[in-house]
Amino acid sequence: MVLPVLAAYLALVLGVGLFGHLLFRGTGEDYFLASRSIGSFVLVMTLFGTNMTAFTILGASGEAYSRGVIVFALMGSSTAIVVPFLIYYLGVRSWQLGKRHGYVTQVQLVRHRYGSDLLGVLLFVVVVALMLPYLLIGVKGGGDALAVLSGGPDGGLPSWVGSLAVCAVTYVYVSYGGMRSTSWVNALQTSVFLLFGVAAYFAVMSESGGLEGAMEQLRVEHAGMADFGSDRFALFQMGSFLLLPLCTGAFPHLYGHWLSARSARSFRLAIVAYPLLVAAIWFPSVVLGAAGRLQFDAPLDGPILVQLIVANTGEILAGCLAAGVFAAIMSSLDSQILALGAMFTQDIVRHHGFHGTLREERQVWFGRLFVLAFLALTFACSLVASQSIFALGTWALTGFAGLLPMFAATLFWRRATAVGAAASILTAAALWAWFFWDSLSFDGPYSIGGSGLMPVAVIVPAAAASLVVFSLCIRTDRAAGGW
Amino acid sequence: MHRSHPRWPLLVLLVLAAAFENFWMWPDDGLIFGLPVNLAYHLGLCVAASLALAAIVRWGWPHDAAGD
Repeated sequence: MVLPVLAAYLALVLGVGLFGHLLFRGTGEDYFLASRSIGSFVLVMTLFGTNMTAFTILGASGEAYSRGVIVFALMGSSTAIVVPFLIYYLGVRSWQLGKRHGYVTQVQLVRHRYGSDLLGVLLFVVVVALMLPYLLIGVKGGGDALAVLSGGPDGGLPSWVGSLAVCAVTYVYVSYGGMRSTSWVNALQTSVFLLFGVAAYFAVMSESGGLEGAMEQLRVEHAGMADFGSDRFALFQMGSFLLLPLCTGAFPHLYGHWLSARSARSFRLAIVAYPLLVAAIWFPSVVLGAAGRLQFDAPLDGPILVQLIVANTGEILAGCLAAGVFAAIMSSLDSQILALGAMFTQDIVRHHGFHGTLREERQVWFGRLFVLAFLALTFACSLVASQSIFALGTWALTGFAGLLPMFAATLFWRRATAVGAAASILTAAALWAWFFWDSLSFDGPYSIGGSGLMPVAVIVPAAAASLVVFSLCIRTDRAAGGW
Repeated sequence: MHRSHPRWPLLVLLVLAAAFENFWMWPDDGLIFGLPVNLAYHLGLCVAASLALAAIVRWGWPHDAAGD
């Protein structure tokens, strides 16, 4: 029964996505930005849904299964504090400049601000390289979830089937309807995973003796799962994780959603509601993951959340909850591949291949082609990727957080220069590569020297310092001066 | 520096960030309202952040975006 319910949900998603195509105006701006027409409600749902990935639903519950309720603070409340401020500062300003200058991508913003094609190419390469592991989170998460839901290793579907289903459905509605379909589907999917997340919480917790009973049992039987620890490791780690959500300010897919807003006022609801929505989805995800320790012993055959659903609910509800997991996955994947399609079309094909003269309908077709190419590449990579969803996610987020100082300076600091921006990007990229290489020989969750300090806590300040030093010390012919 | 935003919301962000580091109660594994105290604290922090942001949106909206 799980698979038919899931199939029905995917058909509903396709229907909403294809319905969005009815309003399609046939232009590049409409395909990539819905003609900057998205209102408050759809904006908040799509911003939130895009930012909540398999990393949130599956990765967080899996991490809570291992480490306990501290995961809510590490990634939940840190996100609830930092991201709305990024929308307040960077989102509103990006929207203003995007509307004024007709931007579709981040690269256009940076290239125009600094007057440097080379800087645009550098940013493009780094962003695309960082997006691949982030895309993998969704595709791999879909495959893992469906494998468990269909029966696990004994007779269930192989994980590539779920990965392929996620890619195929997402491709159809993104390709057909662009940003409008993506935003509408995201609003639907965000509602679905919020509703089903709450349903999963009540269904599973009622089987675990209620919240208080489960937490008391967890505290007694699994020391450390209900507290945050008291050592220097925890102190460094908490500080580091407060910086990780800075990645949101540098995501190309979030930038696209910012530009799609109808007005600056459209952001207000998103800013206020964001912390509450984060709490609404992270709380059940973390509590269920931690409480999973009362029912299962490590190692697991698949994501703990999916295992709990299968073990504690009826088949129809399990199918609905599986749809919620797929909703979280696809609501991010669609925006990510649309953003990459926009970047390839606007920043490479249109800017470098056609010198800004590509016809509107050809922009749309190039966008569709690149969306297909990226999904195919990601699906191929998902067949061989072996790292856990949480580890993949943390590395991708760390890289994007390293780009935040450059974007913030581009929007707000008049004395920032192209040399400073390039130095900041290269510093972030070099440190990210070094830490990633170092982590390969590390057993278990990586931190610098085993101290609890995450690479993001070094990369972000170093990228900011490079930006300031090189902008102030190296003068270029083209003067800085802001907008 | 482009000055479209007032300064006081940045102070709110710093206060929330400082409140995030509630290290004095991290070792406490007690329960409150059926929840581990640290989890309850961070849930409360999310609600406090939303209220603070509502005030920012109401009284600290960027002046050059007021008409957009």
